[in-house]
Amino acid sequence: MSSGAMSPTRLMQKTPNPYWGMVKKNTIQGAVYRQGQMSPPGLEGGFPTWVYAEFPTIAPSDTQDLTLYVPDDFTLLGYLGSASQMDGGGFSFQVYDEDRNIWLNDRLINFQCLAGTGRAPLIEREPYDFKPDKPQVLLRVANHSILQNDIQFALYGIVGGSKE
Amino acid sequence: MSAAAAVPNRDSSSNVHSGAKRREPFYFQNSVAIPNPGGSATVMQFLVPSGKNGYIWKLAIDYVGAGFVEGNGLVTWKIFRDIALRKAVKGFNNILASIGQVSNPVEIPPIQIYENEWITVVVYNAVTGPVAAGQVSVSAAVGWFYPKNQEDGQRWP
Repeated sequence: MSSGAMSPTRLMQKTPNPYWGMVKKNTIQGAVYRQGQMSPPGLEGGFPTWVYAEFPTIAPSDTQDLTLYVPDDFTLLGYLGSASQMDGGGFSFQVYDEDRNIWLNDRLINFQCLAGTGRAPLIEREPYDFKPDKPQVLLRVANHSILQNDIQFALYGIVGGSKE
Repeated sequence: MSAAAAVPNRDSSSNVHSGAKRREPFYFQNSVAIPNPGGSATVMQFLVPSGKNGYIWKLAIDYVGAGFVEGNGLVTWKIFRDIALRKAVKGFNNILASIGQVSNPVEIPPIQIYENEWITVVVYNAVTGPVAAGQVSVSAAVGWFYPKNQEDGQRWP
């Protein structure tokens, strides 16, 4: 039997492959399984956290800043956002690391470009470690709507976890 | 450069004239007739060149004609970063009173502008406004463009 693990041959649809039995039989075509890997790699043992902010009555075209206190030892993995008014794209945002004095995105970018959509959020390929002790971020949100908007925003990430 | 100056600064009041070596000054100005009540019109618009960022140092937004009362909210202005008029410049999304004059723009906290942005000044005439169409709104912007690769970390919100 060929294990397939060291071979470039295609594993899918081969019954005798090393992952046989690790996924449901009736979904084997669609399932993706990477043996032995936790998600996200390198942050095993941490727990998920959402740093949340809300702008419930942001005026048309208005921009607001908010300082968020991020948990110690926080690793940013992605953003989540939603808006009650989606005309003009809803809103755009910018994130500033107060400790390193850098903008993570140097100008306002539409939230769906960075956060994805509610059913398909985007996860950053490169996790970002904030300063371990009492980090802060400045969040800037610009309402794109011509109406008053209710904007919800969250930084999603891991607190703790193994970091080499 | 001192250690303090090396830190990127979000304070808009400092070092407005520092930064890149090859700066390109600009002075844009334009005017437009006040639109009918309930309407809007673009007063002035300019494109930040590709490969360059910049900032607006001085600004003028004014009304020429009769019927305008400063601050009553019947004639207002907004400054946007795009043609779609969705990304307003922070703090300039609801200008209620005139700012300087075209013949004498006033210094403002610098507005950082980025390549490929269409900086657009729009005037709005309220539905209930007594301001008749046909008066004129004027605007001017003074500042610099500079090559992005000469950025020294100084940026203004």
